[in-house]
Amino acid sequence: MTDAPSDAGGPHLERDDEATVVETPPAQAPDAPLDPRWWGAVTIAVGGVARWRAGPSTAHAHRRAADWRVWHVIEPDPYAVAAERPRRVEEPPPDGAAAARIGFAETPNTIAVTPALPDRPVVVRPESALEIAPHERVTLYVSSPTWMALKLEVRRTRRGRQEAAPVVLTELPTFRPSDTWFGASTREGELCYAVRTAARLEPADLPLRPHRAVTPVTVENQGTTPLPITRIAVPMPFLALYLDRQGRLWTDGVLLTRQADGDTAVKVAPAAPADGERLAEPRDSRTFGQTITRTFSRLLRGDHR
Amino acid sequence: MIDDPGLETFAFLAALTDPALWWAIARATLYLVVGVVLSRMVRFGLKRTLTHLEPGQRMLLARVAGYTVLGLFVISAMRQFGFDFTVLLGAAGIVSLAVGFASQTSASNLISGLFLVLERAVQPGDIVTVGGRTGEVISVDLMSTKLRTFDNLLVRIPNETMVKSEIVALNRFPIRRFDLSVGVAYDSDLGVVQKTLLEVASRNPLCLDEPAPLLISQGFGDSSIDYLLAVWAKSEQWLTLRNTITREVKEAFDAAGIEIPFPQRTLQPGATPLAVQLLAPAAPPADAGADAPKGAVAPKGAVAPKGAGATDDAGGGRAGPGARPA
Repeated sequence: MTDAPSDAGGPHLERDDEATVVETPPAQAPDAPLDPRWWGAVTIAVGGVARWRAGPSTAHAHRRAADWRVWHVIEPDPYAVAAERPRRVEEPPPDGAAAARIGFAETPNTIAVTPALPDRPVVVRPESALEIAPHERVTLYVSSPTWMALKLEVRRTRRGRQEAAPVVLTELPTFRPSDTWFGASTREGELCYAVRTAARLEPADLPLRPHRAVTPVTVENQGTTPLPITRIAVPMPFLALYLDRQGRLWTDGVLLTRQADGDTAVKVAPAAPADGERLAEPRDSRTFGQTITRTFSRLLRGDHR
Repeated sequence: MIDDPGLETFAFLAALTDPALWWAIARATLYLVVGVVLSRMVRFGLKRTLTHLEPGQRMLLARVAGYTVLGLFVISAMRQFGFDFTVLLGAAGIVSLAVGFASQTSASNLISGLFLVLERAVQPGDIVTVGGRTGEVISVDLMSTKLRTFDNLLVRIPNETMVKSEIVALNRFPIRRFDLSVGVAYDSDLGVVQKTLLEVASRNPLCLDEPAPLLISQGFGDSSIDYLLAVWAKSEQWLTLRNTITREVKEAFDAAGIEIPFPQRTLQPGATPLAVQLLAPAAPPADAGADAPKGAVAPKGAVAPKGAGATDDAGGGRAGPGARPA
């Protein structure tokens, strides 16, 4: 694994003229260590095709005179390790219907891919049963697939001045998790994504999966009986996304406290990694406060579900 | 009684010049204006304040209150001209009886409509099945409820029928279950069958992880061992899940070599087994060698039910491995 310069992978939009085609770094040599950054920007001439890969996900974008089209394929293995930044490729656009298409009078020449967290809470289910001993505080590391946000830079004239405004083309999951329902009953609740996790307890054990973001979930059991962890709902829309020096994606932390009276308190704990880079702001700008906490009152599902 | 038309006209003109009449008209007009204004204020105020109610209920209550206020002021205005409503009220009982008989159906629908709105049994936007018809509720009016069926037909259902019928709301709750019945052949490995079905549910992203998919063995059927796979989806995705998971189960069964059998029947002839007898090879006709294909001779020992005769009307061409001599 290589530590790339801090400014190498940050998403930015090229503003070069159409005639000057600027590409992001060329494809890696087969024996080179994996560069986990799969995001970035690439400038494409009309008729050109861009491609990038993130884990099991491969996407192509085709610039035409009047529209941009995007194709997206996901392999079945949710843990596939692959990363390839957006780059121009000399290949025809894929066959079949495009996953997204957006029209312009004159298409912008630069497409930027940025990582984003899921748009719904993620319900994490440990693969093997785990219990938290009474009066103990344990941090679990759970990973969730990220989304690829595709943006185009459109130049608009406003009050006589040229302004550049990013237009979101679409968002594509690097892996589409299964839907799940999180609520007190089948009549009330919230639609979430379901993710299974090894619920590792040591950060050193975490494998590097470029398309997944790790959330440190600290569970504090103030009760007098062991607390079995069957499901944890992570409020992804309220978390920011970071990149650490090793190229691993992290989110803010979540603190779950099972109080002595059996109630569960939930708190978002901002946890930027040391020397980390903030890649994306929370989707929901509201503070994860009392009102929202009520919704997540059953965030921690143990034996008291 | 004034019989002279001239005197009648004079009396009318005299009445017109009576200041008391104009004073009554002024007061009646004032009552009407105040009534209209107050009625509108009540309707507007109720619509703004009863925000916790459904729009249909809010509109109904606002209308009833508004018309009540307006009616009271109209009665007050008419009293200024000397109308005596005690007589009217006395006759109201008889009129009500007559009107009630004449408009029995309409009144029933009207009252049923009030109950439908207040009970919130159905609301515009609901997908409901009523009396075998499924469609989207367009409106719940006082007399009838209107459905748009999925083949884009407008169905007007009298509210009385709605109140009496069983109504199934398909999208009232956010998630919904789909039950897939599937039978597998008796020689299938049931462990593999169960694992395959649950894996299909797990792989489908629209199938909810929680509530967990349910696999129920429904026992030994006539031709198959039957299972029920119950999976949940968001109500809006229910149809998509229904279509995709059926296809995926078939594909997974094909890949795993699991057979979904057709209905089978085993025929038993009764207490005694079906008798068979071996047939001697039929003597070929003298010119058979010219017409029959080579090797198409009647097989030795071809079996046939007793009494079926020993003719070889197919020229022996159907003889297969099963027709070998025992």
